[in-house]
Amino acid sequence: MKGVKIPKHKKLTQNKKIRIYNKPKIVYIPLVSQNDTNITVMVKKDDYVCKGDILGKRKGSFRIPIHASVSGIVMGFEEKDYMNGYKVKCVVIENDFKEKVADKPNVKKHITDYTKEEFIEIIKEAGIVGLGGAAFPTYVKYDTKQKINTLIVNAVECEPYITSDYAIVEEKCEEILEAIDAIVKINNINEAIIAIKTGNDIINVINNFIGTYPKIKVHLVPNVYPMGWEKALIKEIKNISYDHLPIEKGIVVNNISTIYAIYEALKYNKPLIERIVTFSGEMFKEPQNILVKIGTPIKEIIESIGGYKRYNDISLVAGGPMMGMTVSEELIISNNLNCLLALKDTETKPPLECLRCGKCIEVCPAKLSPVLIKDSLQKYNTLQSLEPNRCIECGLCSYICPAKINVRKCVIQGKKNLMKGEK
Amino acid sequence: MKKFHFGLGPFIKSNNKTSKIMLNVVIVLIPIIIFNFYKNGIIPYYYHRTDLLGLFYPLIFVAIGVISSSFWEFLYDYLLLKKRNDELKETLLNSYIFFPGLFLSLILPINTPLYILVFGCFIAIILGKMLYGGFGNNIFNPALLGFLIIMSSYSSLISSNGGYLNSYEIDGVASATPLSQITEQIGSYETLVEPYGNLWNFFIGTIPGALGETSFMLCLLAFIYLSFTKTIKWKIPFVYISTVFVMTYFIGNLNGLGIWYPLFQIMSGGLAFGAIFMATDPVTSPTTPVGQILFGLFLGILTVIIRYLTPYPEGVMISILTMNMLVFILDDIGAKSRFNFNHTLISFVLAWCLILGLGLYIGNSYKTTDETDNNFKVIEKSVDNQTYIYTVSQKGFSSTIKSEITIKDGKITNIKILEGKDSYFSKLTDNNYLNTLIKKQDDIDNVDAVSGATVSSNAVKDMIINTLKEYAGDNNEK
Amino acid sequence: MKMIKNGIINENPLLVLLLGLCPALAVTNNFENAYIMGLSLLFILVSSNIIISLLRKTIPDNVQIVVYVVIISTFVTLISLLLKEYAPSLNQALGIYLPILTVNCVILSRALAVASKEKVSKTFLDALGIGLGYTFALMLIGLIREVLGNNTITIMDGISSVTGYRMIYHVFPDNNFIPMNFIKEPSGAFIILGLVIALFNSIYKKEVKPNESN
Repeated sequence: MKGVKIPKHKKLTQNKKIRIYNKPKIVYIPLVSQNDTNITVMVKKDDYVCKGDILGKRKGSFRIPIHASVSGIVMGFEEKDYMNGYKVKCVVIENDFKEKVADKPNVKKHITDYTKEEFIEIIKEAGIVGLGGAAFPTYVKYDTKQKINTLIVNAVECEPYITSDYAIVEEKCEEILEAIDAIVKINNINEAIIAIKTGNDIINVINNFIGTYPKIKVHLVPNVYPMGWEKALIKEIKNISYDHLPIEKGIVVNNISTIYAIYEALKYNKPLIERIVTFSGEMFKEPQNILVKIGTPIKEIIESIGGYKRYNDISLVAGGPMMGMTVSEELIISNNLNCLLALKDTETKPPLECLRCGKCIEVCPAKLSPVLIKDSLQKYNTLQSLEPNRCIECGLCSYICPAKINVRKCVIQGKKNLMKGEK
Repeated sequence: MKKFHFGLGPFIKSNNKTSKIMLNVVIVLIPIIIFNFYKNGIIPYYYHRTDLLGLFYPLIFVAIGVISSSFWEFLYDYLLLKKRNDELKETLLNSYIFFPGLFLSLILPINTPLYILVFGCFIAIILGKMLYGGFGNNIFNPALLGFLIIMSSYSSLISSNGGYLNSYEIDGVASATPLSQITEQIGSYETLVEPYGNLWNFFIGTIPGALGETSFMLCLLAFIYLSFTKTIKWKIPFVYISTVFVMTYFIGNLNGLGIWYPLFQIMSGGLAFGAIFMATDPVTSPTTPVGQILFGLFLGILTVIIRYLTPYPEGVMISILTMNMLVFILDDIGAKSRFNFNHTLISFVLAWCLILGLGLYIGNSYKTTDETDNNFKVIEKSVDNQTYIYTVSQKGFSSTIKSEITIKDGKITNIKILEGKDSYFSKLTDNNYLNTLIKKQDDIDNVDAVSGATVSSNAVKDMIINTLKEYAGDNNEK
Repeated sequence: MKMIKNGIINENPLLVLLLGLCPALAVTNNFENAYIMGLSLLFILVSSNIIISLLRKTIPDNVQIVVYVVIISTFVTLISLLLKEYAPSLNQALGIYLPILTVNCVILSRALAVASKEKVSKTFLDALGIGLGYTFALMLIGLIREVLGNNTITIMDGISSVTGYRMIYHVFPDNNFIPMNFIKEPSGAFIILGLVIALFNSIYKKEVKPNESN
C-alpha cells in the first residue's frame, strides 16, 4: 500500500503528562457493544452498584459484559448521544465518590502463570474490547484452536491529532512489555512485534526496557496514512495477505492501549471502566490526553480543561479527523471513543464537477475505484462488480479530490444501495 | 453562540484544486508558445520576409483562440443555462473553458484564416463539450473535434493559403511536413531527415509544422514537470510514445534502417504534443491505472496503422478520437482488474500480438528485391537525322517507368510514357508536369515535384537527366 | 386540421418519430432533390393509404404486409416512370432512394397503424399531415446543407424541362464564401440532422415530468 502523507498535528498534545478526570457527578453507561443494542440488562432502578459491577451482557455469540465505572445508585435509564450518531439507552448512575469495589477472586502473583482458558475467561469477563476505535471483543481473537505465530502490537496511530497510544506508552512502558510477554507465554506465540512509525521518538522509550524480553521486537513502518489499518500493517511487516481475518494466517493484531487494559485485567482483575481520550484541536484552550471514566458526559470534561478559545465556528468531531463524525456536546464517553476534536469550522463551498483525474483510485488502500462507484450508484450489476464492501472508510478519496467532492460519502451510499439491492 | 454541525468526515482536505491543475498546464505551455513566436514571428521578421503584423501573428493567433473559446462558453452559460453571478464565476474559472481554444490554436496550421479558427472554437465548445452536458460529461476531446471538422471541411483553403509553412519556410521544401512522404516508401535518411537538417532540428523544433507540435524538447520538459507535480496522467504518454517507438523500430530494423528511424517517427507529426496534452485530457481519458496503460498501448497501435496503412499522413488525431469512444470499456476492465488481474490478460495479449504482428507485417511489406542503384536502363535507341529516340526505363515508386524520349539538337522535344504503374501517376499526366519539364529542361533540378507523387516525379526527372547524359555521352563519342 | 398539424409538429416522422432517415441523409445535399423526394413520398403515402383504407376489410391479416407492398410499389413505379420521362437528371440524382420508398418505414408504419384501421377520410388527413411534415423536414435540412455546403439554393433545376425555368440562387458572394466540404458528406448530414432534431424537440416537445427522483 502506498499511502499518503497527511499533516499530523500531533504537537498539540505530544509530550504532555496525562491528566486525570475521574470525578463525574453522574455517569451514563451506554448499553451497546459494536453498535449492537441487544443487551440483557441485569440491574434495575434504585439498585446499588459497586465500581466494576456487571450492568448488562450482550446477547448473541460475543457475550461481552458491560461494567459500571463508578459506585452509586442506579437512577434509571435515559437515551443519550452515542458515537455512531444515534441515541442509545444508558444506565444512569449517581456517583457517591466512594469508589467501592466488590470482592473479587484472588489474582495470581505472576501474570504469566495463567493458563490459556483462564486468560480468555479473564479478559472476557473484564469486558476488554479493542481500544483503537473498532471495539471488537478481544477475547474472540485469542479463543481459537489455530496456532498463533505472531502477535503484532499496533502502536502506529496514523490518524492526525490522536496521541493517546503514545501517551500511554510513555508512562506505562514497562507494564505494557510485561503484558505482551505474558500474552506470548500464555498463548504459546512465537514472536511479538511492536509496530511504530518512523520518526517517532517513542522508540527510545521502548528501547530502554525491551532488552529483557527476547521475543519482543520493534518494527518501524512508513509514516503514511492509513498505515494503522490491519491489512496494510500485516502486509508491510510480514508480507502476508489474508482474506477475512488475520487469524487465518496465524496472526493476531492488538492495539497497544488494549494491551495495557489486558495488563490491568490480569494483574488487578480490573474491568474496562476507563480509558485515555485525546482532547485536541485548534479551538481548545488546553489540548491534552485525559484519563476518563466511561460514561462521563464530555461537557464536564471540556469545562474542566478550560473550554474553547472562541464560541462560534466550532466543529466538534469524535473519532479522528479522517474517519470521524461531528457530534453534539451531549455526547458521552464510550469505549470506542479515542479522540475528541474541536476544529475550526471552515466554510464549505459546493463541490465542482468531477474532473475524472483518477487520484481517488490511485490512493485507495483497499484497491477500489471510488469515482466509478459514484457514477454507478443506481446500476446494481455494475455496483456489484465494483465491490464497494471492501471500503474501510479511511477517507483518503475525499481528502485528495481536487474538486472537493465527498467521494467517501458516495462509496458508503454504494454499500447501502448494494445491501438494498440484494433484498 | 456555539454552532454544531452534523456531518461525516474527512475534515481535513489536501491542497489539490482544479484551478491549480489548469494553472500547471498553462505554465508549461508558455515556453512552447514563446518558442514558436520566435520561430514563426521573429525569424521571418529578422530576415525581412514579413511585416510587423506577421511578427506578432503567432501570438495573435493563440490569443484569438483563447478569447473566442471563452466567449462561446460564456455565451452558452449565460444565455442557455442561465447561470449568473457566483455560479457563473465558479464555472468560468474551474471548467477548462479556454483549453479547447488554446490547444486548437496550437495544432492548426499557422495560415488558417482567423474566422475559421473562431468557427472551430465554436464547434469545439458547443458541439464537443456543452451539448454533452458541460464540463466533465463529454466523451470526445473538444479541441480534436474542432480540428477534425475544420480539416475535413476547409483543408484545401488552408493549404492554398500556405498550410503549415510560415513565410520564412515557404520556399524551403516541396512537401508540407516530413511525414507526408511516408506513405509512398519507407524512406531513407536522405529523403526524410536531410531536407530539414539533421535529427537535432527535429528535437529542438526548427522544422515546418503547426505552432505547438514541432518541438520535442519542450514537450519532453513539459512532460517531466507535469509528471512531478502529478498534474496529468503520466502513464498515457509514456506508454503511447514507447509503443510507437518499439513498433517503428521493428519496421525500420526489418528494412535496414538504424536507430534514427524510430527517433524520427516519435519526433515528428505532432506525436509528442498530442500524446502529452491531448490524450491526457482528464475528462476523456480512463481513470483507472490499468485502463490508462491499455489506452496508451492501443493509441500507439492505431497511430502506426494510420501512418503506414492509410493515406492520412498523421494519425494522432484520429487515434485519440477513436480511443475516446472506448474509454468506458477500458475503465470497466481496469476497475475489475484491481482485484483480479486475470480480467485484463486478454486485452494485454491482444495488444502485444498486434504490436508484434503489425510491426512485422508492415516492415516486410516494404521489402523490395531489386537493388537500389542501377535504376536507369536504356532499352532501345534509334537515331534518325539528328533526332535521337531513347526508350528508357527508370525505377519509380513501386514499379519501373518506361518511356520514350525524343531529343533533337540537344534538347528534349517529346516525352511519351509507355508504361507506368505507380499509384499517383495520374497526377503527373493531369498536371502537365511533363510539359513543364520539357520547358524547363535546362534548369531541371529546380522544378518542384508534384505534391503527393514526389518519388514518381523525382523518378521522371532522374530519367530525363540520365537520358540527357546518355545523349551527351553519345554525342561526345562522335 | 388538427390531424394535419399533428403530423407536422407533434408526430413529425423525421424529427420526432425518427423514421425514414435513409433518404434524409442521402438526397438532402440539394434543396430541389429534397423537396421532390418529399413530394413523391407525400403522393405515394396519400394514394396508397387511401387504397389500403378502402380495402381494409377484405385483406386477411396474414398477408397484410405483402399486399401493402404491392399497392405501394404500384405508385412508386408510377412516380418513377414519370420522373424518368420528364426529369431524367433528377431521377439520376435521386438514384436508388426512389425505388426504396417501396419499403420506407414511414409509409409502411402509417399503413399498419392508421390505414388498416380507420376510415378513408381520417386516413387521408393523417397521410396528408405526415407527408407534409416529412417534406418540410427534408426541405429544412436540404436548405441548411445546400447553403452551407454549396452556397446555392436550387429551386428548379432538374425539372426545368417541365416548367421551363431554372432557378439557382447564390446566397453569399462567391469570393467571400468558402463552402464547407464536411457538410456535403453523409457524416456532416448526420450531424446537421442531429442538431435539427435537438432544436425542433426543444422548441415543440411537451415537458415530461420525471416520476421518480434520481
